Amino acid sequence: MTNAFQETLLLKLTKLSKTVTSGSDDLTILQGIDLEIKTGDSVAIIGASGSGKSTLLGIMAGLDSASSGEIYLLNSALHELNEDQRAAVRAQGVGFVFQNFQLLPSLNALENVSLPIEISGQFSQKEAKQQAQLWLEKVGLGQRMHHYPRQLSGGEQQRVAIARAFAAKPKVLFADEPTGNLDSHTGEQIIELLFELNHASHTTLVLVTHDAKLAAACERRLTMHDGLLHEEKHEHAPATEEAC
Amino acid sequence: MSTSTHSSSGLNGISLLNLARNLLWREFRSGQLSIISLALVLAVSVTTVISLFTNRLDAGMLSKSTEILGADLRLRSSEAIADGFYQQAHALGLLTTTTLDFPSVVVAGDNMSLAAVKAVDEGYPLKGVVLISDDAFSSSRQVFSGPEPGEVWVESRLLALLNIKVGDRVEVGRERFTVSAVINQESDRGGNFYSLSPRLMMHFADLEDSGLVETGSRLRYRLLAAAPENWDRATAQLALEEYQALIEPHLKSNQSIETLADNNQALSASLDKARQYLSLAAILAILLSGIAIAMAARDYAQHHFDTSALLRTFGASQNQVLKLFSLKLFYLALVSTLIGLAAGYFLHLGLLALMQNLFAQELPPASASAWLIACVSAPLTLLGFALPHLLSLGRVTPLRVLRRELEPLGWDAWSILGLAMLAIFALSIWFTRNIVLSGILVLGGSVCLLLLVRLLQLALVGIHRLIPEQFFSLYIRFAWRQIMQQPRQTATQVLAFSMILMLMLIISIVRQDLLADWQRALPDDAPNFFAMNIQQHETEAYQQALAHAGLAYKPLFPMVPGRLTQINGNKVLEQEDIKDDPALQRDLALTWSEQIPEGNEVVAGNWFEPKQQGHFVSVDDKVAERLGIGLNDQLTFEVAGQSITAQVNSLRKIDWGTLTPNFYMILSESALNELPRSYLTSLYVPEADQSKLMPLIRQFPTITLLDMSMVFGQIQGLVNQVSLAVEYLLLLVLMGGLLVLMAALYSSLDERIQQGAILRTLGASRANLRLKQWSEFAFLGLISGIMALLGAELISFCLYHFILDLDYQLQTSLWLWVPPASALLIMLLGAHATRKISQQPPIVVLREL
Repeated sequence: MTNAFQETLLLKLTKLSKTVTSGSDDLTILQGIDLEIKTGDSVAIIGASGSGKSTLLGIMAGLDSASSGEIYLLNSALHELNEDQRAAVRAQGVGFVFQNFQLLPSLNALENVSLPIEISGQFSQKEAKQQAQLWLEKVGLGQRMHHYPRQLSGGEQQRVAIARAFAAKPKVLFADEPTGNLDSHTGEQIIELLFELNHASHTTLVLVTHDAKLAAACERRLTMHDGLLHEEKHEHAPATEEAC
Repeated sequence: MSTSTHSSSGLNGISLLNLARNLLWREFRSGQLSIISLALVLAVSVTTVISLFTNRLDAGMLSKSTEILGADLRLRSSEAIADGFYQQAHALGLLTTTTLDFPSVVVAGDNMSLAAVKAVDEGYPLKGVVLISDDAFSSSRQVFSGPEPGEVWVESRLLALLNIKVGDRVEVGRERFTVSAVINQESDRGGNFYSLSPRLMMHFADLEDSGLVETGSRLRYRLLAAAPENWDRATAQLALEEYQALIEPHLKSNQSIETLADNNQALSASLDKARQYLSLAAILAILLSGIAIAMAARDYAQHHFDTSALLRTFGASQNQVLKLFSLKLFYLALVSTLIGLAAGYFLHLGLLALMQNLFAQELPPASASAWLIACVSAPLTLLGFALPHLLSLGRVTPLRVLRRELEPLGWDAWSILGLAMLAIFALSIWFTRNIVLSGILVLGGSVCLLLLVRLLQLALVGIHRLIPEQFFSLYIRFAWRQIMQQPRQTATQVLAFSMILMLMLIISIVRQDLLADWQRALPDDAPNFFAMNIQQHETEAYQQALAHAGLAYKPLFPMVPGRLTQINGNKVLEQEDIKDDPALQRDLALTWSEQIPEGNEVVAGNWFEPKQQGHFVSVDDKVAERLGIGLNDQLTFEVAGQSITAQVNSLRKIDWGTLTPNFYMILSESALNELPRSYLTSLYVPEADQSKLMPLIRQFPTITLLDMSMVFGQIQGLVNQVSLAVEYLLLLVLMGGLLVLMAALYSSLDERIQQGAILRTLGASRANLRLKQWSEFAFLGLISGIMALLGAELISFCLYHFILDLDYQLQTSLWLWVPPASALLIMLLGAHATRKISQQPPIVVLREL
């Protein structure tokens, strides 16, 4: 098994399938997907609504399990692990950014960012707070640390979410439609921020998106269609050169 | 590459504790916890108030009843009580003293009278007080002892009978004593109808010289035992129970342990009902708290599914999430309990302050168990109700961060309800030690409501089919759809609302009937004097004298003292199993009555028919059961050396709560006509008119006038005090109920508010929206009111039948106003709770959800 997995590989999927039962019918969402992602890659998964992009993202991040096939993430065979063991893998080096931000409404920006750092257990509460402050300043929210999510605009909320994702020093960042709930101008700012931080922290980035600009900023673009994944083979776009 | 070792992330015990505390504090600050913490604080406060209040009131009533016994425990014996009984009491640290009752003739100059002599030893009374005064009918003072050796205290009517005054000397036995005071009240006198002769109290040490105590005299020794004043109640209770257990095996057939019930049935019956009401209020408070916590816990869990999913996404294990939420709930319970305890404590002080003038002395402090119940009830109910939700919080899939519609598989409603009801059932048994009462209320209540709600669901479907929707306007139709298409949500809400309303109704219904029952037994002009021994030839003269004095009296009825000697020809004193029964040890009062006396009910056989041939007798059902008497048995009575046999033709149930004379045996007129009889009447003498009795006593010296006013006073005082407590408890439970109702309403609002905001976005006007929301709430209120009344009728019926021993009548008047009132109440509360939909722009409302 180890020989199938190269040191530079961050993620590897082999014949990954996902079938769900809906009523009496079996619905195949993913059919035998093979994929390798190297450390430091930036990958965009695009496709129509309902094509299975988000399902794939969930499985790759260990949030969900596949029906068959193998999946290796950060040197761990996720398909052999139970939910709690997968959680431990996530705690070690997986970050997330969501379309609907997923900030906890009862925590202010600072607390939202420091929470996963505290949970990772690598830092004391005080250090977690310092880290969180640092990251909030990096995303430009140094002045709004004590605001609650409902007091922040969508773009600001997504910045908090990005700060939260990077603060835990993840090796890989999964993003689900990170600009989906934002207007195009704010979306562009968020894309810029995401790639800037990604570049600075040498994080691998895997994202699901409808946003052509965002997809174009990535080194690799994969299209989901009918549960199958196709990679667009082409030279790096100029934008990518800049950002990645 | 390793795939095998996957330790959980680094959250160890301490940091989990801190994290839980921090998260809770942050949530609290952000206002998210307000409903659940309010519900918890409310639950703890209400339970604390009721627990402390009922506990202290109960202790107050208990001390009242020990006053009436003059001790915590009393041993009665017809011979001197062996030293061993005293030594065992002293070994346990209990105090003892002795009293001796016997009848004796008292002589003053040419006058003589029979007196009920009571010799009391040092230490008497162990509990309660003696009220004495310096002359007849002047104001009394409290003393905590009996007379000195060489002196006696007498009741005022003995002064009248002997024509003497305080300071004169009387002869009792071989000795002469100085009358040093008039005895007005002796709290352990008891209400026994047969202590006919006036009291003379003397010191125990004078007995020997006076030669009064000889074998063959009718002696009644009593050993009085009590715990020292400075003991706490639990210790005292334990010592007394141990003492009773120690001496019980050594009691001879002529010795028995006396309880309040033997001594004063009317008071004991009132006390029992009052206690049951307090227990009822306590269980209802626990149930209310339970509902509040259940609503809050469900709401809390649903609001935290996202948090749970997010924490799992960050890498927390299922176990850690579970621990984190458990810890949060633990902290929450801890803090709410502390606040609730403090609030409850002050509230109960307030209640006591309001009632202060009713208690002669300060009530005993609440026992540790009352505090313990107050402390654990909320966390226990929280556990019962929140555990299932907590477990589902642990099971939230992290995938929910991507797909919000994913909800953990919850427990089914039955398991949740079952677990919670079990927690409350256990709690209420612990609280009240009354399994039947707890069972009827907790288990009966929930089963009955669940059945009703199921019925309601079916009924709704039926109505839906029957009434064409087009009949109504769009928004009412919409409200109706809302109720119909989410039968589960509707059922849950109706269940919660109707449960709360039902509890409020039950406590009101019971209060009303309980007070009415007491009032019936104790009208303000209840006779407070009995005149007995009125001879046939005196009846007219005596009635005239009473009328002349302006005193109201009841019709005279005959009374013959007679002893039951044989049942079906077998001598009762030769039958081992019944020969020691108190009813066979003394003369019973035999009477005749054309009608069934008030407070009596024939439970077997038939009442006397006019002109019936032969001798018949109607017997109290309890005595009949004790003595093994059945219908058609032949009873033989010994009356003034004459024997008479009568056949049992009916058994009666007697309500001992009324203060009219009650008779074990009522004979047919034909039987009684053959016997020498005297007459009895009862009269009401207002306190100011009591001096009018003196000439009557002198004019008719052989007629015994028995002053019951002090016994009645005790009962009336107690009933007044308990009635007031009942009113306050009612108020407290109703207020608690209203708050819980609001909590229940608020915790089910999110969806309604969201829907309202969407409707407004779609162009619904505020007025239309209000119409929709209000009609929905009014409808929910209406059906909840109906359910609640149905449940309340059913449960009250069971309570009356099995516990309170009262007759139940359908609450017809409630049916007229409760359902519309409930509709209005829920509608107003709902309108208030959803007002932000119409006050704020819909986008703001939607964003906040």
